[in-house]
Formats: sequence, structure tokens, C-alpha cells
Amino acid sequence: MSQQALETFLARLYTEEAFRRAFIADPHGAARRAGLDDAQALQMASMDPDSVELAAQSYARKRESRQRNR
Amino acid sequence: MKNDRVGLGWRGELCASILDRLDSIDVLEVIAEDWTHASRPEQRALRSLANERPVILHGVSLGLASSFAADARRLDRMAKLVETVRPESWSEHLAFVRAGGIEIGHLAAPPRNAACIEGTLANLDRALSIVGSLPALENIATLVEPGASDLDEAAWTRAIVGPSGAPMLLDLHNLYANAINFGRDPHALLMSMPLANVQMVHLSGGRWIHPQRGRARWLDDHLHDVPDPVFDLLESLASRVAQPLTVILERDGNYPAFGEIVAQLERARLAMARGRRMEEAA
Repeated sequence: MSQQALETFLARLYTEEAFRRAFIADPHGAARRAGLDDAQALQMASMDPDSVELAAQSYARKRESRQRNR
Repeated sequence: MKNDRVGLGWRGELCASILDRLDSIDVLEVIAEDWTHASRPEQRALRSLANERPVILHGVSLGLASSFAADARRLDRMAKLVETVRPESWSEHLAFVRAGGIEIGHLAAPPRNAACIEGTLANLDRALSIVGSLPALENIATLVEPGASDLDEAAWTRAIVGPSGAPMLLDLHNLYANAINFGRDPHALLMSMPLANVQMVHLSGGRWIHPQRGRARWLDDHLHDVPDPVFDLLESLASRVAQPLTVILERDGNYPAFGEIVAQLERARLAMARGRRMEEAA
């Protein structure tokens, strides 16, 4: 599995609420279902779910702010 | 002060005050994406400003720290802006902002590993080829440690900045926030960065946030005054490096009276001067 798949996985985590909910409920399973191999899924599953949620909220606010300023 | 300089990020809300107090500002940093779609006359006005004070273009959307190739159209726009404005230099972040067609909407930390370093170095070659110069590379603040990382932030940064030959734009508030949020000593983190490559510094402010779940975090929001520990980091940096530093204060809203912003610029000058005296005494 490529580095691009890892970056895409993170981008989905930060922008897709349903994808993030599934990850927080079952990190390793969600990463495997998204196509990551077992080792990479384990690495992603080690991310702190509270931090993932907080980062995603922060990115959402940035996107909303940018939309308002257009 | 070794030709150290202190300047401010150009913001529309501050422009009248900036022009009024230009004597207090050595250098201006301009967000590149605010100008890439501006008319030629507007870009020429920015060029006129660059004749008054050195201008640095600051990119926020290239996403160079990625295994995806940086978008050639965005690099072309940066190249055209550089050609028109003729800034002193330009800068970008060590971050990814999109992947697989998904726009994250802000600067995100990529998995810090060898593949990411390889992709970032390739993107920097691409930037050099299209824009004609390398950007200064800025460390970002992150609320989450990216998965699939086998290097810490400092080792990853050194592995990119050194081989690329690009200067470093060290954001001391981002460094402070990451240290606080991930349980590291800010001064130890500072010392592990590639300090010999630092040519520019960012200062800004932030605040504590208390999420419903998990521990409190320090948020880099650019809406508050620079906290004292960040001025301390600037003093330490100035005491450790020999090269001149260009320091930029970033403020994106919740603006105080402009005199308070000028006072923070002066605090930065004083912090650097203290550091330089320590360096000379050592």
C-alpha cells in the first residue's frame, strides 16, 4: 500500500464525518476496510481518537471560515 | 543586532495602520494566495509596496510535504506572482493540504516517514524548477500526531531541510504548541530543529481549548498576543545561531490597538537583542 493511500486515508479522516466515526469506533477495522494493509492499519489505529476528532473540527472551522470570506 | 529584522504579516484590516507606522516595520509578509488572482494593477501595487519595504510572499496551499506531486497550476501562479512582485523571498509550509482529490482545507501533518521525505524533496525540486527559487520551509502546528510516522517532528524536518538546501522558517508558536500538546519541553524541541538553516521566524498567539473529550490543548489561532514563553524561545534561538534572523509577527483577527502590535514587534527586537548578547558572551 502506498504512501499516497496513507495520506488519502488521513484526508478522509479529517473531512468525512461518517468515515471518522467508523474509525473511532473500530480504528483497525476501519483502516483495513479502507484498503490499508495490516501493518499500516495498525499504525493508523495508534492515533489518538480524541486528537483526530479535535483536528477534524479545527479543519472544518477553517473550511467554513474560508467559505464565509469568499 | 546582526541585521536582524522584525516585521508583520500584511492583513487588509491592518493596512492603513501598517502604512502609517512603516517606520516600525522592517519587512512585510504577504499571503501569496490573497494575490495570485488579483488584477495586474493590484499586483503592481504590491510591487510598489515591495519598493517601500522588503516583501516576503507566504504560501499556504501548495501542500509540498506530500507524496502527491504539487499542483503545477498552483506553482505556476506562484511563479507569476514572484515574477511580478519580485519579493525578497517566498515561503511555504511543511504540510499536506489535499490527498486523493480531497481538500482538507488547512495545513495538515503528513505521515512522517521516508516516503514522505522523498515526495517532499521531489516537490521542492518541482517548486525550484517552476518558481525559480526554493521556499523557506515552515513547521506547522498540529493537534494530532499523524499515524504511520516513524520519525519525530524534528528528525523529519531535519531530513527535509538539510538535503533540500531550503532555508527554514521556524514558527516558534507552532513549535511551542506542539511541545505543549505532545508533552515535550519547548526548549528541547527548539534545540533539535535544524537551527543553522533558520533564516526566518514566525511569532503568533493562541489559547487553551477544553474539548468535551480528552485533555486540554493549546490552539495556534493567531488571534491572541504572543505568549511570554514564545519570546523566551526567540531569545534562546538568537543566542544559538550566528546568522541574521527575520522575525514576522502573524495576527489574523481579534486585533488590538495597533500600538499593541508595535509593542510586540519591539518585544521581539528586545528578545533577540538579549539572545545576541548571550551569544557574544559565550
